[in-house]
Amino acid sequence: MEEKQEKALISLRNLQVSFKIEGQYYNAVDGVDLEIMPNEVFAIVGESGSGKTALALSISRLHNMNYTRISGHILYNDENLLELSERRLNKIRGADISMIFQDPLTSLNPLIRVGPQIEETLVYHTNMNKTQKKERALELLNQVGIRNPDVTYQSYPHELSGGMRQRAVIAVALACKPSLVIADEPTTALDVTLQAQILDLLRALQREMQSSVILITHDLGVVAEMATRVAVMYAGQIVEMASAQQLFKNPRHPYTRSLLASIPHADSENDRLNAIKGIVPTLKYLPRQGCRFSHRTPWIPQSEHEADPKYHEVSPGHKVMCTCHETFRFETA
Amino acid sequence: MYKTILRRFLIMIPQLFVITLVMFILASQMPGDALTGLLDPNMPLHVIEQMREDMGLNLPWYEQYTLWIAGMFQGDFGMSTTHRRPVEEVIGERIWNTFFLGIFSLTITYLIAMPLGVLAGKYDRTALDKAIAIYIFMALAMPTIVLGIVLIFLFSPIGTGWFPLGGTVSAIVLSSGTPFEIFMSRLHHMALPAITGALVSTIGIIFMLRANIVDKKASDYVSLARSKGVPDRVIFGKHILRNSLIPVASNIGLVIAFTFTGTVFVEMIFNFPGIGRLFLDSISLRDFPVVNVLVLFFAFLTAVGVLLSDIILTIVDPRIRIR
Ligand SMILES: Nc1ncnc2c1ncn2[C@@H]1O[C@H](COP(=O)(O)OP(=O)(O)O)[C@@H](O)[C@H]1O
Ligand code: SF4
Ligand SMILES: [Mg+2]
Repeated sequence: MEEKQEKALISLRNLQVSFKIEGQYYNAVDGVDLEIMPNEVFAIVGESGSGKTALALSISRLHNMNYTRISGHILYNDENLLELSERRLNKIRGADISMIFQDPLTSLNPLIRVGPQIEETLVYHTNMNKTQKKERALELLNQVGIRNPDVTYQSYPHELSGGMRQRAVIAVALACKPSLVIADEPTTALDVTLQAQILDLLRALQREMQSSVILITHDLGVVAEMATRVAVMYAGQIVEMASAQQLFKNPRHPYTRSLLASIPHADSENDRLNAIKGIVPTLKYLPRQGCRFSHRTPWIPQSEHEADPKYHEVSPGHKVMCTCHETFRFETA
Repeated sequence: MYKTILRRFLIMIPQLFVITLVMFILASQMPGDALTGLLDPNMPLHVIEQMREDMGLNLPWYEQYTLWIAGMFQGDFGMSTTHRRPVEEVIGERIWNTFFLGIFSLTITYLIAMPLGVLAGKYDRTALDKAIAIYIFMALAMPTIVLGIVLIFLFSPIGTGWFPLGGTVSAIVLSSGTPFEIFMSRLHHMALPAITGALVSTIGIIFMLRANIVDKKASDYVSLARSKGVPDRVIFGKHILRNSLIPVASNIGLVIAFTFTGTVFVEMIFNFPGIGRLFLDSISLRDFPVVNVLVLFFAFLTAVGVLLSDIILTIVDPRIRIR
């Protein structure tokens, strides 16, 4: 293994996540390799159904393990999280790695006031007494930009707006100053003005706390604004990975290029034509052989693809899983 | 809250009026009256006619209704035509039997349904869950009457004789037993009818509890709680079970109403001297003064059950306020 200047905060090696459907396991994440560096915002983009959530939940093993299988390695502090007992993992969940979910309306327990839900993290990771916990919860609410922390502390989730609730969820995630925050489409359920506010907040807090963030999104605009590096995910695989700059300057995978073409401010006529049609097949019907994207680029003759696509290095730190990444052409109308 | 409850009680009054009205109209359409089949066939017709006249049976239904309502407001519940005694006395003798039977039946209902619902939900998709599903299907397929008959054949003196049939307490115990022995004898007499009444009610509760637990287990806030490092057993109690119990708790009022009205069949099957059997007997003997008061009572009980459900819901769920 090559010597890195900086040690990765967390590394995923050949990560596989599969779900049991009608008695059989199907991979939703299929051989993902990633390293998250300290103090970085790592974005994962891809259409709905490409396995982003399955990947995110596997890191601290939040799946229902009755019908989920996870294999590979998740290395954190020289330990493979996949081999830890629930008890040991619970020491890491919330303290070192925390989550922000997509839908703020369902992320909080409707029967418990917001304050105690923030304190719940502190209960299991600190020795704070009651008043200290309350102080910390109020401090967090203040930190996430809630103007009346005392009122919000006493509120039930249904008494808060969506934006406020997502702020409260962020407060929950940050309670123990984790080194990694996994935010799974944290703004998808919010309206546009709120999206910007919440993202600004996340970025500010990330800078302040020097944590790393895995930001899952299908919005490339968000990536451009916030991310240091990006992985593009399709059908359970990372098809392209690069620094954010590189990816926007020199996208190589047809899927990446298609995603870029479909963002609203891609204004050239040509770009718009380059949006590739189709959707991610459902898990049961994912192609398991050859390039998974080939069915969406039928105009490329089969002979041009590798039977089993491998990563090609475009430049240091920029890899792509596409044989013909240099010769690929879009369908001409 | 108290105002709301008071208002809901006031709303009940017109509802009950409508029910009694419908009942009177239906009763007036039924063939026969209190004197049919009760009298000596040799009695001269004009005497019978005189009796009808005296009892007010010849009045049109709306006049009978007005008289009845007027009496009710003066605390006069009327005279039972078969027992020739005030209705409240006839009902009062039996109502406690039904009350205890209902309470016992409810206790059994929840003692069976709660653990099964929790287990089925907690271990969903496992063999245990499937075994509980079999219980549900058997209970669904077995009407109260059939279950009652099966239990009688198996456990009453007709079968193993583990449980008595008919009556509420054994006469010997009643005359010479301690209060505790009397209590136990009552439970012994009520066991089969109570189980029979409970079985149907358990189905809905198990279903509801299981579905809720399965749903909550997959909820975002449970994932969030897990991502905080909260141990699973705490999550189950604090986040899953508690939230899943809300609909069950708010359903209690309805189950109570259902159980008490359900005793009509149970008491009939087991020849149990409560108001349920009194109700059926009174219908077949056209003892309308008794029937009317009982219908009113059952209707009132149901309305109170619904209200109780709403009240419980507002207490346990901060999102709900009754209006
Ligand atoms: N618990 C599950 N059981 C079965 N299939 C699942 C489950 N969760 C996700 N999937 C499937 O796995 C694939 C990836 O889903 P997901 O990770 O949610 O995608 P994304 O977050 O990128 O939209 C989808 O086809 C989805 O239907
Ligand atoms: S390898 Fe072929 S099918 Fe796969 S993405 Fe590249 S061009 Fe498309
Ligand atoms: Mg997702």
